Amino acid sequence: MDSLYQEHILDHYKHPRNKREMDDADVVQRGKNVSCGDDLTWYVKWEEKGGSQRVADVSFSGYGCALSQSGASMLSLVLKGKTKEEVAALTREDMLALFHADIGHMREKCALLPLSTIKELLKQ
Amino acid sequence: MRFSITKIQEDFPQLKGGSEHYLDSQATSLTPRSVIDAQDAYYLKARANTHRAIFKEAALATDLYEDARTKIANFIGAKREEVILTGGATESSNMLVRMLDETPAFWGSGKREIVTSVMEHHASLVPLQQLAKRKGCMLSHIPLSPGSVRLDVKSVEGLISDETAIVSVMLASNVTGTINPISEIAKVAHRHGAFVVVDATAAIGHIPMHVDDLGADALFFSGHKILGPTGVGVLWVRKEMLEKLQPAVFGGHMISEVTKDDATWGDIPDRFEPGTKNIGGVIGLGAAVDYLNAVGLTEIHRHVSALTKSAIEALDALPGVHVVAERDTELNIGDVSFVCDFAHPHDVAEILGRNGVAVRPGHHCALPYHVELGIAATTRVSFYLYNDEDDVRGLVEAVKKVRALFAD
Ligand SMILES: Cc1ncc(COP(=O)(O)O)c(C=O)c1O
Repeated sequence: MDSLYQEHILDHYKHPRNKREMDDADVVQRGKNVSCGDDLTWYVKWEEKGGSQRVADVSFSGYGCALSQSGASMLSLVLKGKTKEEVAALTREDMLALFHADIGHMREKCALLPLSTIKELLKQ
Repeated sequence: MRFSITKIQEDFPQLKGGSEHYLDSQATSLTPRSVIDAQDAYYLKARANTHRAIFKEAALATDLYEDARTKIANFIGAKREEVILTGGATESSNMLVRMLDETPAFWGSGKREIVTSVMEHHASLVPLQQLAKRKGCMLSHIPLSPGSVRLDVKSVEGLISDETAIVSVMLASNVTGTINPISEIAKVAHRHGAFVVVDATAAIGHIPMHVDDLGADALFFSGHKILGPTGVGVLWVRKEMLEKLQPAVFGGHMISEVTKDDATWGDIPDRFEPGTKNIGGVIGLGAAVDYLNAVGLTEIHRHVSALTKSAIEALDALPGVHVVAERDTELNIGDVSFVCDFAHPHDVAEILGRNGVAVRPGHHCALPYHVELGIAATTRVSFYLYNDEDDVRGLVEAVKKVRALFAD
């Protein structure tokens, strides 16, 4: 039944990677899905490397459903070391692919919150 | 008629083939065959626009439409000319606010305050917020009793004054199911000459209800929550007031005379029903009212209360599950919201749905109420006349599956 709640998604939900507040972040961005109560904050520290800005460290805090929270955990692993341009180039499909599952359209907003919030962060 | 759950269940086609346990009636109810048939009869035999035309289908359509109005009026203890047919509760609420806004006499003699409650649905609250802004009124809110899902009715004395123009409170919450003591609040409001508005959307069809007993001056609801079709609603306003109110929506049918530059209004309720209405939907709602009357609202409330009690007890018994609902089930219209320590409401609802249990997660269009209760979102179970104890069992089994999945 619960192909949506596979082992790796539950693992990231129960044991999130990079879930902590970061006091010395360069940028902080909060994103919310008001209708479901998902609330996510990204913290990013940039470093200058090879002429471009890269993610030196990234973390998140917040609460929400298994999709938004495991999605943030999985995306945080993807983000480390990426340049600003690479982060900007991440697509909806890239984000959904992390789940290895068919996210119904009713839950897409939850699954995409980590990506939409990090895109907001880039605008700062 | 004796309350027969098997007979009732046979009347609702979607119980076969839909979710095995439909527990989302507070969002919208299922439809009995008789309502579908009544609506079909209009489209198959009486399809014509209402009023004015004199060919036979038009006469039939008008009769069916106006009969439905009479049934609806009787259902709430109102006069038929006080019943305005709309597109739904949200439209009714907005229309009423505009009607009051556009009637200068209503705002005479220093009436500058609006009182509502923290429990309201956005459909009622947001139009009032906008009205308060336009009029420069103060908007205040009846709070909750500390540690309770109920309104602190004692606070009403302090909130309502001679400057209060409107007191708008819902008859029952669509989140916790709690039934508010409207008549008590209305007494205080009337002592200060305030106009009492009641959002009956969650409560209607779940408990016997009479506009005079409530002490309401205006009341609204949607047809789709009480077995009727979507896209139909009702706005009721006491006649003495309705006759004084300005219309808020203009067009055909509502007028008495129109010149190039001006118009005068027709009689009530036509004055407030411009354009072509959802004729088939209104006829369907009339049939829904017939159905509810035949089963009996007292019987329905008794049946639903028993299920509500079972569900609260069963959920209370599950570790990590916290019920957010009116616990005196006599005073609950059939809603049991809950939160789980082990999973977010969206995940709960998703897994329940995959197990054939149809429920709704979120804030149920009552964000301020959730804030007051200190929770971001809940999973809501709502019972209606066609549910039974098997639905409670299905619910509990599915919540146990959620716990098994998310437990460490
Ligand atoms: C208490 C209450 N008021 C108003 C509404 C709005 O009804 P509708 O969406 O049919 O306009 C609802 C529906 O959820 C409700 O539960």
